[in-house]
Amino acid sequence: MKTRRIKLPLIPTMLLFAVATTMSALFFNEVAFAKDDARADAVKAAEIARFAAIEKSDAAATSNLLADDLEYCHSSGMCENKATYLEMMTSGKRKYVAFVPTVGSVRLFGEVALVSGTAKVNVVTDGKPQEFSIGYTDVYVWRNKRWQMTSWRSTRFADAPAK
Amino acid sequence: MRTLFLLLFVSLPLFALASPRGDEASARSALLARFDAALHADVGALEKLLADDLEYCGVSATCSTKAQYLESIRSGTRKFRSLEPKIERVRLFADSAVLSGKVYAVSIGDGTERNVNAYFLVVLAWRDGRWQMTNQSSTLLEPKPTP
Repeated sequence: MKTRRIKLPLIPTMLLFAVATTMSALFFNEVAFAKDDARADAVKAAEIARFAAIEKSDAAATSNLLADDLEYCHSSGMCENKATYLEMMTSGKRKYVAFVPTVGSVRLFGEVALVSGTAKVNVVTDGKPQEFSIGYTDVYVWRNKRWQMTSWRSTRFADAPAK
Repeated sequence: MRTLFLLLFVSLPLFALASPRGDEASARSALLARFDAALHADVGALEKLLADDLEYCGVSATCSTKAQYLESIRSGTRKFRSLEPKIERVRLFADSAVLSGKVYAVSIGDGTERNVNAYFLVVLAWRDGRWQMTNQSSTLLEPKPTP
C-alpha cells in the first residue's frame, strides 16, 4: 500500500499557524480576564465572610478563611500567628463588637491576591473597649481550592484616634 | 534550512516559557536595593524597582501611587538619614513574592528628625524579567529601645 505525502506550502502554512495562534491567544486572554473578574469577586467574598466571622467570634469559619502560615499584624504593631489569633477569639480576650469594612481594591498575581481597604473597628481587648478607623492591606493565597488570608497589616488613621 | 526555520518558529513559545523566574535571594536583593535607593534618593533606580501600579502605604495610613512616591523622593519631602531594614519572612509564589519584616528609619521632614520603627508588608511582582515592588504597607511599632 502506498502512502501519499501531502506537501503543504511552507510560508502559507506558517502564516495560517501564526494567525491561528494569535486568535487563540486573544480568545484565551479574554477568557482569562473574565476569570480574573470572577476570581477578584471570590476574594472579595472571602474577605467579607471573614469580617462577618470575626464579628460573630465564629472561630471555625474564621479558621477556614485563614492560611496556616498566617501573619497578622494589628494596628498596634503586635503580630500574631494563626493559633494565637484564634485563641484570642475563642478565649474572649478579643471581641469585635463591630467591624465595618470598605473593601477598596483587589489585585491578582496568579494564585496571590492583594486586598486593600479601610474599616471602622469597635473592639474589646482584655476588657478594654476601643473604637478606631484603620487602613489595611492583606494578602490571600489560593490553596485547597479556596482563598485563604496569609498576611494582614493595618494602621490607624491619624485623624481618628482611639476613643 | 526550511525545517530549521520551522523548528525555530515553533519552539519560540517554549523559550519564552523557559525564561528564568525570580528566587528568594533575588527577591531579598530587590527589596534591599529598593530601601537603599530610597535612602540615597536614587530616583532612577527606584523607577526600575517600582511597578507602575505601585501602592505605597506609609505608617500614617496615607497611600501613594508610583508617581506620588517618586515625586516625594525627588522633592525631598520623603528623606531619610538612615534606613535599616530587616527582612524576616519571604514567601514565593508563581509570579510574586510576599516579604515582611521590620525597618528602623530616621526620617527628615521640615528640618526635624523622626525615629520610625515599623513593620512592613511588601508584595513584589515578577515582570519583564525582574522583581518590581507593587505594594508596601507599613505599621508603626514601638520606638526602638535605646541601647
